[in-house]
Amino acid sequence: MSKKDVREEQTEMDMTPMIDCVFQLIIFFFLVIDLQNQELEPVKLPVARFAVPDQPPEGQRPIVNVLQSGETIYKRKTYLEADEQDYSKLQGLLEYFAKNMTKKFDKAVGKELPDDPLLIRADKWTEMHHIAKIMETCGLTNVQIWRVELAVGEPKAGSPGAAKAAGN
Amino acid sequence: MNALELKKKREKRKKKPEEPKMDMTPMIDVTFLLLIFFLCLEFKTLEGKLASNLPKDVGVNKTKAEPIEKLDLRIAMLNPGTRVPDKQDYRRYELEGHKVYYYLGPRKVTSMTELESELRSAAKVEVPDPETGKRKKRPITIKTSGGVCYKDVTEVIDVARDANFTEITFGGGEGTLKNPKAK
Repeated sequence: MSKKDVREEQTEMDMTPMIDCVFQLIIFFFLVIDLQNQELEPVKLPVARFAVPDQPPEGQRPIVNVLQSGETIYKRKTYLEADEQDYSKLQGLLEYFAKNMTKKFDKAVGKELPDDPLLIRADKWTEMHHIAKIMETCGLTNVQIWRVELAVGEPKAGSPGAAKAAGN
Repeated sequence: MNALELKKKREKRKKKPEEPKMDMTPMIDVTFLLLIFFLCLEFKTLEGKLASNLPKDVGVNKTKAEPIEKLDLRIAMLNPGTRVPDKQDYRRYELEGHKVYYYLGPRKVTSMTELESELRSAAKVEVPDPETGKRKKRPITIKTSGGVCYKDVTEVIDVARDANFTEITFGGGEGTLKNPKAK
């Protein structure tokens, strides 16, 4: 082997670790994206001028999606079909949420109430009575979820909501 | 053994085998990229939200609730609109010509601009809090008629929050578009 050959061999880059990392990265993103999308259904949200950008909460915050038909979905599972009158499945789901939420004693009511919010994501043209039924179920004795957040479109950069969130 | 073979043998003895070294640079590059990506991802916000409350005093309570003056806001249907299929998503539709009006207490309000100014005026009125005794803005209770959509409600909450109303509650709906008298 000549000296020239030896020099050429030394300049070769070992691509194995990079390929390993890239593959791991791809697998990781597939999993993360799948887990993130599991809670969000493709609905067209209304745009709000003064909405606060949504930051991931510290505690629990279940996300319930309501389609235009009134179909209510949580983590890709339907808990209330369109025009269904039996709310037992939805009630069971909300009871489960309430059970796992952090509780805080409320002086006005005189008992402990769930203190985490419930995020409702509905299509902008969903009739309000579908959402009102969810809210009504939230008020049942075994549920008592009183903090509700309504999802709206992402506040555009420079909007009053975005400025508020930035602390301006 | 001829001279050429001997020479080769000597060369082999002289040259020690090089230790294989792993080049870590690409791995470090990728790891840093990964780190930067996750740092950015942490601060990314997907959507906006409007916080509101539901009535707490539902069911049987042992404590006596003190009454508080509230501001009633009802959203009523003027025109339900025509359903136009969404070209991008076959499962949904858009409503064209959908129009609502509002009742702020007994007063009829026909446009969002008017409602905005009415709410700003109403926000100046303060009432004593039965719990603390301090003066605060009245809570708003939103009620909806049949056919009113999610968008109509979020628009109202949006304006109310900007007028500095912090307590926004829902007072339930009245009927559906198909059956306006449904409870």
